[in-house]
Amino acid sequence: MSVIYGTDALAGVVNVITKKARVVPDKNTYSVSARVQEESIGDEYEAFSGEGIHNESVNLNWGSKFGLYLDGAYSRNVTGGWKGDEIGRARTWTPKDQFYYDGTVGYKRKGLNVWYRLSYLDETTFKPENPKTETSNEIVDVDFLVDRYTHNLQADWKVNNRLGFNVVSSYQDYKRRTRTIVSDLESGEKWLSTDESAQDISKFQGAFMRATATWKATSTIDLQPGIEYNWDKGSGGRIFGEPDISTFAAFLSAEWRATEWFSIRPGVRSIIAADYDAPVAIPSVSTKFSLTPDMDLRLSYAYGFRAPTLQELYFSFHNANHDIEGNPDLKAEYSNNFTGAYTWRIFHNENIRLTSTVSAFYNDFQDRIETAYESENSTKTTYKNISKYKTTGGTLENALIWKNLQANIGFSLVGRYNNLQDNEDVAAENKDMPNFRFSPELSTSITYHIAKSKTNLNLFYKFTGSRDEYQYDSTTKELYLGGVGSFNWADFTISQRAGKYLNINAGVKNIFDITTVRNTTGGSGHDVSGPSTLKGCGRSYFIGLSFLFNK
Amino acid sequence: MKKLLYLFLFTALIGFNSCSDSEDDVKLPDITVNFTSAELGLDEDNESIDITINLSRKAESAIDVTVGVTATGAIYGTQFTTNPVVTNNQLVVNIPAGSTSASFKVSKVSEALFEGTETLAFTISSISLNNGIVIGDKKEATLKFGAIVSEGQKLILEGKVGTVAYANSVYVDLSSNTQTPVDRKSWNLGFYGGSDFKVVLNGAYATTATASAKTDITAVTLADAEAAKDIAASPMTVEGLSTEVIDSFDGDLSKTVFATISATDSENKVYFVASEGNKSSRDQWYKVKVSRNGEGYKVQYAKVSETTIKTVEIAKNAAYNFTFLSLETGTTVNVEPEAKKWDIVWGYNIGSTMGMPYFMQDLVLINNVAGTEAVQVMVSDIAYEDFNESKIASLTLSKVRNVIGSNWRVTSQMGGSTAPLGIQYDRYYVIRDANGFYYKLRFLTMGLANDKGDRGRPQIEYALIK
Repeated sequence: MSVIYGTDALAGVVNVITKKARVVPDKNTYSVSARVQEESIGDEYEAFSGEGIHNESVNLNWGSKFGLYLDGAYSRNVTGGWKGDEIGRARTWTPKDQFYYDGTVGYKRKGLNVWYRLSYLDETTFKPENPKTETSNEIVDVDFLVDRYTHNLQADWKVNNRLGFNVVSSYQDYKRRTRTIVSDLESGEKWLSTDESAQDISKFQGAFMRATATWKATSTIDLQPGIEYNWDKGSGGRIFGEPDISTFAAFLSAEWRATEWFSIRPGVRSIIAADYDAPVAIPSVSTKFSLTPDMDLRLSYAYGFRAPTLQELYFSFHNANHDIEGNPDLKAEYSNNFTGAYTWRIFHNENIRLTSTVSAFYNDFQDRIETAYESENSTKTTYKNISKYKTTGGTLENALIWKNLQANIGFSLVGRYNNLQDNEDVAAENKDMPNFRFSPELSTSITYHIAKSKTNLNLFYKFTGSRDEYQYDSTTKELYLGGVGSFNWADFTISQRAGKYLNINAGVKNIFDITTVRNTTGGSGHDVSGPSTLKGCGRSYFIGLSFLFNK
Repeated sequence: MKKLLYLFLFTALIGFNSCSDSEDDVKLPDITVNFTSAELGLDEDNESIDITINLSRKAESAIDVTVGVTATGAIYGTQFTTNPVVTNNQLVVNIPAGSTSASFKVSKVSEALFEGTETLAFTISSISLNNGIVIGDKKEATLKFGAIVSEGQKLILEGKVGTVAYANSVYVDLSSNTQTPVDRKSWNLGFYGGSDFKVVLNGAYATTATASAKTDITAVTLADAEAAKDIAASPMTVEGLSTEVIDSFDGDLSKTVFATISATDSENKVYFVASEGNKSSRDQWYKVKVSRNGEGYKVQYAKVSETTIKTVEIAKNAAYNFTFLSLETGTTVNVEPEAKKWDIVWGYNIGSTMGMPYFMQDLVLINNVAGTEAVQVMVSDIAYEDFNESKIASLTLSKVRNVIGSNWRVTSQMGGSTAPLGIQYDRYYVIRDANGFYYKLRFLTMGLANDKGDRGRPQIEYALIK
C-alpha cells in the first residue's frame, strides 16, 4: 500500500462517503434521502438535544441524461457528552456539536467522470470545568471551535480498454480556535481568560495531488505509473513560526501475470524532494500463487515509512512545567513489512459460500519518532528518531454465506516487541524474558435476513484479549507485567423495512456495559497513567428512521 | 403525496438549529494603564530615578500616555529636569507595541540643594488609545526628594520580556517601592562581599558545579570532567540532578558547592561549572579555579576543551552581598541592588520538589544574606487585614532563603493534590527587612487559573506593619 498511497501528513485527505447521483443516458434522475437517529450514551439521554447522540441528515441528488450531476448533503451530529465518574459541570467525554455541509457538481460522459466537491465542517467542542473551589463563583468554559473547508477535484478518464488516467486533488483549510471564557455567576459578567494558552488560533492548510495512469501494456503486464505532491502548513500557539513541509514523489507499480497460477506485483516509490530526510526508494513486491482453483497463496514484502509531522518538526511549547520543542532534523520512520496469506474457498456455489484465510505478518520498525531530552539542554524535551519496534502475529478469518445467513469470524494473535530486551542490564538479569508479548482478539459478525417480514438482524461480538507488557521498576529492580485488561464488546441491531420508502433501525450497543478497563502501563516521572482506561460509556440504546426515494 | 408528507415530517424533525454563537462577543478584560509605584523617593545617594508606567497586559499597538506634573517646593530646570521634557506641565511617555511598560526619568540638576520635603505629583491624564484600554486605579504617583518608607501598595513584577514569561529575576525593595528586573542569564558565579571568601552559583541560570580532584587548572582535562559528577543531568529522573551539585536551597553560605576559598591556594580545588547554555557535553563545561587575591578574589577559568586560561580579578564591595561574574563575557555584572536595598527576589530558579532539585518559575527567595527574615501566615489563623503590630510577637520568623519559595502557588494538580490551581489565597507572608521594617505581603494575580493576571508578571500587595 505504501507505494501508491504514501503517508497522510497532518491535514490529510478526508473522504466522507456520500451517495452519488446516478447518471443514465435516457432520463433525468433524482433522489432524496433523510435520516434521523437518536442514541443514548450509557444511561444519559434527552430527546433531540442535550444528553445522548442526535444525528440527522438530508441528501439530495440530481443527474441529467446529458451527464451533468449535482449532490447536496447536510448533517447534524450533536452529542451531550458523558459525565461518567466526573462531578458537577465536568464531563468525561465532552459535548460536541457538528454541522456538515457538502455540495458536488460533476460531469460524466462515456469514459470520463470529473467532479468537484466542497465540504464545510463547523464543529464546537465544549469543555465545561468545575469551579476552582467549592465556594468560588467563577466558572470556566473551554471551547474548541473548528472551521474546516475541503475542496476536492477528481477526474477519471478511461481512454480505451488498455489506458486510463485518474487525478485526485484536494485542498484543505483548517482553523481551530481555543476560547476560554470565565463567568462570574454572581454578577453575570463574562470575560476571556488571560492565562497562557487560554486563547489560541491554530491554522493548518494542506494540498494534495496524485495523478495515476493505468496501462495494459500486454495481455499479461499492467503498468501503473504516477506522481504525488503533498504540502502542509501550520501556525498557532504551539507551532513555532509558520512552517510548511512538502513532499514530491513518483511511483510505478506493475502486475505481471506470468502464468495462470502465478502473478507478481512489484512496485517502487521514489521521494524526489522532501523537506525532511526521506528514503530515496521505497520498494514493495507481492506475489500470488493459485495452487488450485480454490486455493491461493499470497506472499508480500513492503518497505514502509512515515513522514515526521509538522508538530514533530516545529512544535513549540514552554511553560513552568513543560519545555518542548520540535526537531527540524527528524528523519522519516521506516519499517520492513512481510506478509503471507493462504486462502481456501471451501464451498463456492449458489447456496453456500465458505472462505477461510490464514495469514501471518512480521513488521520491523526503525527510527521511530519519540520524545527525548535534548542533548544541548537537559531540561528541554524534543523529538528524536530513537526507538525500534517489532510486531508479529497471525490471523484466521472465515466468511460464510448460507441462504439468509451471513457470518464472519476472525481470530488474531498479535505479538508486540518487548522493549526491555534493548536494555542490556535488564536483559542480562532476566535471560528467560520473551522477545514478544502476544495478545489475542476474536471478532464475529452474524447477520440474518428474514425475507418475509423484510427484517435484518445483526449481532456483532468482539473479545479483546489483555495486552500486557513487561515493566521494570528501577528502584526495586523488579520485572513485572502491566498493561490493558481484556474486555468483551457486543452490539445488536434490528433493521426493518416499513413501506416503500422507510427503514427503521434500532438496537443496543455495548451489551456488556463496559466503561473502564484496567490499565497499569507504567510511565516515568509524573506521566504515570491512571489505573484504568476508558473504553466505553456503558450500555446504550439507539433508534433511527431513514427515508429514501429514487426516481 | 405520501412521500411528500414523509419528507415534510423529516425536515420538521431536523430543525436546522445552527443558531449564532452568543458568546462570540465575550472580550478580554480591559488593559489598565497604571504607575508601577504610587510613591517613590529620590534620596541623597541617587542623582536620578526612573518612574515607570505599566500595562496589565501587552497591547497590540503603541500607546502615548500623557502625564501631568505638579511640583511643590522644587523648580523645574533649576532643581530638576525630566526626560522626556515637561511642556505645559505635561510630559508624554510612549509605550511601544508589545511592551508592558515604559518609563520617564527625573534627574536632579547638579549642585541643586534639597531639604527633603520637596515633591513632584504625577497624574496620568489621558491615553492615546481607548479601545479596550483604560486608565487604572494607580493613576497618581508622588516623588519625594528624599528617602521614603513605603506604607505599602500593589506592584506588578516585570519578569516577562517579549513572549518569554521568565526572562528576568526581579529584586524588590518593599520600603522604597522599587523593583530591579535583571536578565536571569546574565551571570554564573557570585563572590561574597562579606568578611568570608565564598562563591555562589546562579540557580536562576540553572548553574551547577562540582569539584575536580585537582588544584592546578592547567592540569584539568576532559578526562577529569568525564570522571566528575554529572552536573548536566536532568532533574527528577533516575540518576538525575543531584542536590550535591547545587547550592543549598536554604541559602546557607556554609553549604555551597564551592568550598570556602582558602588562603592556602594549594587547598583550592578546580571546579566544573555549567549553566543552561553549556550543558550539552562535558568539554563545554567551564573549569574554574578561585583563589584569594588580598581582600578580593582571583578567578582563573576556561572551557574544559580550551587550553588558554583566562583570569579575572574581583574586588569585594561591602555595600553589596555579592559581586557577580559572567563566565561567558568575562566581566562583572550589576545584578542585586545594594545589600540593604532589596528584600525578595522572584523568578525562575532551582526549587526543591520532595527534596530534589527542580527548575521552576515563580520561586520567591528572601535576602537572607543581608538579614531579611520571613514567615508564612495562614488566613485561617489571622486574616491579612487583621494583621498588625500586636500580632508580630506571635510569629517566629525564619532566615531560610526559600521560606516563601513556591509555597504561594500551585501550577499543576498532578499527584492527587487537592489544592486549587494558581495562587493560594489562604496564606500570606510577613517579612522583616534588613532595616528592621515589618511588611505583610500577599500575591494577587499570576496569570494562572483565570486570575486575570499575566504569566511572568505576578502582582503582589504589601503593607507596612511597623
